[in-house]
Amino acid sequence: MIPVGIFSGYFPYDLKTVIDRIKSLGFSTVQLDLSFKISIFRPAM
Amino acid sequence: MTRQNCHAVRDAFRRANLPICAISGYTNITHPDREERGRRVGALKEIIRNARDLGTPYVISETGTFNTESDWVHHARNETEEGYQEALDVIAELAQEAYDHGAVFLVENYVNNVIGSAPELLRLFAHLPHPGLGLLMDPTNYFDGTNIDDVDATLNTMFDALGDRIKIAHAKDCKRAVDTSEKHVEIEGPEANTFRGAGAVELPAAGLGVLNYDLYVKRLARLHPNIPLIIEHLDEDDVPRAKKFVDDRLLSAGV
Repeated sequence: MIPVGIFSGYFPYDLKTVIDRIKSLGFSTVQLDLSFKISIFRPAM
Repeated sequence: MTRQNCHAVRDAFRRANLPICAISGYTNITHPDREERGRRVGALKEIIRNARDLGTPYVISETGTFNTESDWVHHARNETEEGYQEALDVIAELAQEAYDHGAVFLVENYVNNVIGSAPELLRLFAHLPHPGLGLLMDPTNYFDGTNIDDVDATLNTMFDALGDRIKIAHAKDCKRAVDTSEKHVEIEGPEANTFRGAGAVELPAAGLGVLNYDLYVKRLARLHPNIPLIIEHLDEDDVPRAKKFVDDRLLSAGV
């Protein structure tokens, strides 16, 4: 069966909050946007 | 990006039983300013090199445009042989970088970019049969003013031609635009997530357009029964509605 996911970038929060929000909405996978409100990643694009 | 911080993010999602299926790398890989193009392609390669440490081989970008004002607006050079060759050279570099690091670069075509239509994708995969290259299927990206009123035939053509290349799928919608200007919404996040279409076709969230979802998920599941389907082009308030719409179509199809 097809799992449904969402882009993580639609949730402009810190990593923990991003995960909590996506889980609470019932998703089972994510496409990762490297744009959390944390300084883990700063890609030059 | 370091191995350590990639693993921190990867492990946080895994602990929540929310696996990362793909990584956004959206940028204009054919930017006409060579210096800017080099900077963008270099940043995309950095993501590709780190993809496996983030838990997935798949990194996605559109193929870009020679337009200097926008990553999503058409430019006449996009349709030329010279423009195609430039894009092909960059995509070949990205596919090789991916292959060298156990990853796969997924092309997401879009009608206003260099690689937009099913025939253009077929030509790309014929010229570049590389194990580091795959396809992100977003059926709404194939529509322009010439085929938006012929949804089912266009959907069938893309799956007939390209179905075996698909690695990840997207769920948004399409409809004929009233306002043909480039459209963005006011939400936080990367520019690729605020874009809502440019030209004859508008790109709203799933369930708000004319895409035949019953046909889409039927064709998708037939070839790829366990493929991740990723919702997009919405704001946070609309997520429950869009997810229910997609869930209902999957339930109806039994896939």
